[in-house]
Amino acid sequence: MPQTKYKKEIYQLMAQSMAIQSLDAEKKFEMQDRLLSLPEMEMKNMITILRMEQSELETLHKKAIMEQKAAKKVYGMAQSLRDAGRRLDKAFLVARESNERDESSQASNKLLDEIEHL
Amino acid sequence: MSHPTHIFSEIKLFVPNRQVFADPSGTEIPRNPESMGGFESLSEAFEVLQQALKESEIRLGKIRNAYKGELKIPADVKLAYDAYKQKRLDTYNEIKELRKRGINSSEARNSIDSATNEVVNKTLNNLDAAFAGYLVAEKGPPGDAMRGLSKDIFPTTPIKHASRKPKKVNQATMPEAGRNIPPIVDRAPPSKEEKRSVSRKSPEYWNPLYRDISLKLIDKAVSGSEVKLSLEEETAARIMNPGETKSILIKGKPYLLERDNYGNYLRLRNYRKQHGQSEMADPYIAITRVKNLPPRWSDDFKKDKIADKEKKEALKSTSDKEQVESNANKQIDWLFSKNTPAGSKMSFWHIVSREKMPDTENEKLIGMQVVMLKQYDGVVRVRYLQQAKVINGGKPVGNAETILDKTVKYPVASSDKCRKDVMNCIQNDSQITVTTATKEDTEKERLAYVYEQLDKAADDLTKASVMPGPIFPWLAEFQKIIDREKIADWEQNPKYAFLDRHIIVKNGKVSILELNPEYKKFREERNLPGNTAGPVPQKYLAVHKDARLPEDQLTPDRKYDERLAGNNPPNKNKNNKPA
Repeated sequence: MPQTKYKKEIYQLMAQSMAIQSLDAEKKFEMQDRLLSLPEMEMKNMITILRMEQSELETLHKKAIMEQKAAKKVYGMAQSLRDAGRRLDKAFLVARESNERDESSQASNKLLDEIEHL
Repeated sequence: MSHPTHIFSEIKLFVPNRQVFADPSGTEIPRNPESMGGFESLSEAFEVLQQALKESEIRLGKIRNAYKGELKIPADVKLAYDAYKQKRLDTYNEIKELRKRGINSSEARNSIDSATNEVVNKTLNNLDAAFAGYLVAEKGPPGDAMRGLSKDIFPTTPIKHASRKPKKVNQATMPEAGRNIPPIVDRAPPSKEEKRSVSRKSPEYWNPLYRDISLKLIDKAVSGSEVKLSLEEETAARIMNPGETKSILIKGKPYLLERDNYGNYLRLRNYRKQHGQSEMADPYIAITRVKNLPPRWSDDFKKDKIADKEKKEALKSTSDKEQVESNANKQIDWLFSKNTPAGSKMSFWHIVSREKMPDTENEKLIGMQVVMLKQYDGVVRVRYLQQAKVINGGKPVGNAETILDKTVKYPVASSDKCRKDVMNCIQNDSQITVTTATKEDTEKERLAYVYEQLDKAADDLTKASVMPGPIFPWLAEFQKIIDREKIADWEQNPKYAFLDRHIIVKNGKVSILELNPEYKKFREERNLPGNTAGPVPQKYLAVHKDARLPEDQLTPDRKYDERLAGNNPPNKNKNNKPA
């Protein structure tokens, strides 16, 4: 019976359909019941609708994967920028400490000079 | 491309309100910034980057201020400062590159979630719309029991709880009405192999008859009345394997109809969505005995099935002519009604005579079958088939002999002619005279019907919510009729202008390909004003926006996508202009 073939397919699509799976238990039962008791012509229509959903979700899925990759990249960029920033901070800190040390030693040298001249 | 199941196992992770999302291998990634490397989604990654860029601005300003007016900046600081500036510049360039690929901070994960939601909602709406269409089509004459009878098989259900051991009927939990029924243990439950072989072959299926049985069981629980199963219900009950269950929804409440492990009883329980044993813990609402019949994998069942069929035939043959006539009348009324959709089919059959043959136990049956089909142009095609066959003890002997096999087409408004012929066929046992409608009668009515249906189709097309599936094959059929017959009053029916395009239905998808050459030629020959090769009106494009045809089926100069984008509307092509 050709209808059996469609039933098998519709059952498969139903199991994969997010729309149907998103229904609560009662509604899901009702929808399954209705879908599986349809005549052949109507069943073909339902298969079309469910296939459309599948294809649209596949597209979204591809987009999601792409975004996931992009997210990793963006995060990598942020991390890399922060790492470079830390290096700059460190260099700046070292330079400032060194400068302070220089200033301090210059000041003590100056003081020693003055003491010698007394 | 991945296997759909696999894809959907991943896609599911994008359902809104889910707290996790996954990598392509399908493993769930926990929402732990430490193990994730600090980000959860594209939008959040963009937030982190935004923060880093803000920090960079502050940091650079601080360094600039520190060395303001100084000629000598330490070499280390200078190097790190330049590297940092370069890194910042690179980051901006990379963001630009991402934007070029359509990835930016505003359209991140949220957009996929909402798009998924939209797809899900759209599918549900489409299913509802298609169901609504089907329900309209399904409204046949009331009491058309023969339609149900024509289903010769009841698809089967895989066995649930196959590993469960047979358990005794709990008398204490049984309602009063069913308590006195003694449990009969006369057959071993099916082996695992048997169960497996059945469940592999058959898809899950709920037969409407199971709902009827459940209703009767509820009646029994309420009123205590005995359950009397009809022949069909009994057959459906017998097709259930011992231990098998069916989920039934009655008035929004789920029930579980089950055949006990020995196959002797049908029981109804409240269905509860719980795991494990608690699902089955509810006491029975009611119980009824299934006749002590073998399950369907046994040879006895096949024999019984044949006997059942004969019993069914016998039942039908005893139904009087009045019943058949009344049923036929209802079918004819319904098929000739204007609201009945094209493609609707009705049939009935009737045993004209049944006589015993002399000197043998054989019987000679003369039966007739009438099959009526409503065509797309409103014409109802009827096939009369009268056959004689010899039966012995319910089984046919030899081949059936065809007495009459004739097909007649009745015009749209000729239900009376059809009725007369059908009644003749039922009443006249030996002679059937079929009156055929003349061609002149039919043509005018047929065209009127076609235009009326086209009006409906045009109205449907303008609705934004309309689905391509149920509507377009129908419309395409009309278009075929019009193309074939070259109806000469195209120009008088400007509202059918959209028919100047081929509507192609392929694999359930609809595309508008190009102009109908017949129509174009027709207008060109008559030098008719107006541009018939105009662009597809926006309101129709809205319906077709998801439609696609494979590249090789598009003509090179008229790519569907280009037309959608409005880059190359067909009316700009000079060759298409009428002479």
